[in-house]
Amino acid sequence: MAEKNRDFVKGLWEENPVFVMLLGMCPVLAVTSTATNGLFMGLATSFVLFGAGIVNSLLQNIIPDEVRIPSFIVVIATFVTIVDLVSRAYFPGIAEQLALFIPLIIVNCLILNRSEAFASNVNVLRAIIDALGRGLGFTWALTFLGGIREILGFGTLFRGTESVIQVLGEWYQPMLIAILPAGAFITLGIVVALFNVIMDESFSIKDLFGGTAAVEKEQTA
Amino acid sequence: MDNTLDLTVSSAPHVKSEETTSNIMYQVILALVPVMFASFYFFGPGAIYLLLTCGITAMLSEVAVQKLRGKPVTINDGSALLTGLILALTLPPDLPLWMAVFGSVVAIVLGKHIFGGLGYNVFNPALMGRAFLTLSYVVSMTEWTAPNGGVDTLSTATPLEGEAEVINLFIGRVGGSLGETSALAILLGGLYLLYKGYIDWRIPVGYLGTVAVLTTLVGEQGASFHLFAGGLMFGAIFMATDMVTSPVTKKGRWIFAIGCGFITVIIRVFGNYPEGVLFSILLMNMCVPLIDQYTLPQIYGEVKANG
Amino acid sequence: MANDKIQPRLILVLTLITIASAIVLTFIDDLTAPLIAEQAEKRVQEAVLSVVPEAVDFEEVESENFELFQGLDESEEVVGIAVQHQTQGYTGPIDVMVGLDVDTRQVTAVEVLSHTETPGLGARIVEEQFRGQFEGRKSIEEEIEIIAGATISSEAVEEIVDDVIKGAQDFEDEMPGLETIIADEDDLGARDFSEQEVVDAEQGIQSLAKIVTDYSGGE
Repeated sequence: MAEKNRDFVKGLWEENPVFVMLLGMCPVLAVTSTATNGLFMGLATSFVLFGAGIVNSLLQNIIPDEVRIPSFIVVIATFVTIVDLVSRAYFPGIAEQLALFIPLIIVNCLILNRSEAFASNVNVLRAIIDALGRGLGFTWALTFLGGIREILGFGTLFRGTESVIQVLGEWYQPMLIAILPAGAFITLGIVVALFNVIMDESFSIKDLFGGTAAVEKEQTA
Repeated sequence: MDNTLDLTVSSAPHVKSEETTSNIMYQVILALVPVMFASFYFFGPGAIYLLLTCGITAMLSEVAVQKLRGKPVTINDGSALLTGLILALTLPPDLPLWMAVFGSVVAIVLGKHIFGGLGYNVFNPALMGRAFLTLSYVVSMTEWTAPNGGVDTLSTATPLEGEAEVINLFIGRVGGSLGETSALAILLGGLYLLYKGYIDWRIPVGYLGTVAVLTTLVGEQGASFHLFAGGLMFGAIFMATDMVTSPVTKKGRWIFAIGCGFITVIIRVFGNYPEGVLFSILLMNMCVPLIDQYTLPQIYGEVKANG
Repeated sequence: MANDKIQPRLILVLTLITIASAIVLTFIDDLTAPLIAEQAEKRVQEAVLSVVPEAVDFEEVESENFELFQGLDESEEVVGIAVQHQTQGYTGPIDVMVGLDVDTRQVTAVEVLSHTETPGLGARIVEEQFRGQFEGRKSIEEEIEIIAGATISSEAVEEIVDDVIKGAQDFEDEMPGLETIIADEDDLGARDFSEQEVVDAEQGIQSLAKIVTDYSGGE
């Protein structure tokens, strides 16, 4: 049981696909201009991760090694096409926003990584738990980045939905660069840096102000 | 990591002299005095507020980052102050002060210390700050106010989008960023720096020369207009010549300067932005490591036997 | 296992997976295709009806140069024309629907269907404050107020509306519903024309002449 909990938490936090593994950078950089887009992209990717994880885990003894990559890709592409069709039928607004980035989930290296390195080597239950952990980890990371960029660039959260929140008032002059592609790189860089600080257990806030302590650490690292 | 952190790495040539980084920085600030005076004369006390805001914010950011990184605080070397002042001089006179604060923080933190601090930065920090503001607050960054004693009482666009008499451009009686309007004041400072040998004549001459030649060929308004309008003069003398972000070899400097001129003219004449100085220098900054690699003198004795 | 013995299994498994995938997708496509078509139809309908306020229904008209729709009222009468047209904006194509009044040829409304302009700048072309400027116009001679920092995007929309207004002369040949209206007006017989009408007619002839030269490849 403990092992399964680990599988879940790993994807969510200590092996977060975005902030630690830096996998699937194309959607991370391209569609996180708003929290809405980030959330939807994260959920779409999670669904594919989930479906492909189950199928590829079940088929692990049937698929011969030599054709495993093409087989995985066909399975992944099937689930991506399902997401694409369903979102265009039921969520036309957001589907149009994300447009070609949904079909591109097929080549998101996070999904192939999980199928190849994990799902095809473990039982279905572990594959499901892993897919849920990584999927949620990916989703919160994208929503978080999208949220930061949206607040800075528009002053709102969850634009384009009915529950849009006006975070900053009329006085706020939007910082355009946050929602431009350059803003994606800068925001991601800063968040990854903060994540590293938080994750580094030997690093305490005191070190930041402790003068030479940080330097010594750097030298011995 | 090995214990090399205490070594000071500076760019070639490694000539032993009385000059220190700090001394050069303050000499450049001295050379900026005519420009700052001109900005006060033409744009009033608002110019002083902007200069103070940027200078002080840049220095505070420097202290904060160096404390955070556990590095010795080098606030007294004047480099942060210089970055702040140069940034201020590239801003529109009526820019809200909080935007200037923001730009200065970006210039020092993202422009300089992310790369490792003074001497390691790839891009001119002041220009990084300005680029960040240009991309963030397009409207505020392109609203120009007419100077005091100007001919026009209202000018909303940079002279690059309109007409202006060359004599006004030369003296500085046109709309524009704080320090870029008066070619006269900039030239005064530039001549002082040349006399002291802190900047290489090849960069301003190569840059301005390229722009002059190309605008004679393709520019509608002619070379004299393009030379004195916009931020070209200021950029060529005070920003492209930055020691850290320009090539170290003579040949490399020619390439760098001509490249800057070329990109500036392309953006000004064919591009969507009226001004190309900012991005041309940033783009060429990016090429400096490559230029240096290909223009370093060949090792003696390896010259091709040709004649 | 020797290599040559594995070959058929590789082919078999991959083929089966592909077939399974195809079956699943056929099923899903069957379910979603009508919904997707409906969404697309709804989009066009919303756009046409929003630029031709009096219309309750619409039909597409064959046209050489424009995507042309007629707005119909309850009695199936043509009450307005909706023209979909696009041009290059700052970062990509801007797709706009322009509504024209049948009789007066005035712009009734302008709707931006899709664009990829910079958020916060060019993207403001979708705002009512900008689009509203075109309402009631017969020409673009009087300058519109451009969005600060987004000259190119603004001018792109302006260009579309201008093209549509100028092209409006052509629509008469292509829209059967309109011919009758125009024929009716001719039947009014000889009468004194107001100065404005004469100017309008002259402009009409000029723009018609321009279209003819444009299409015949002249300068």
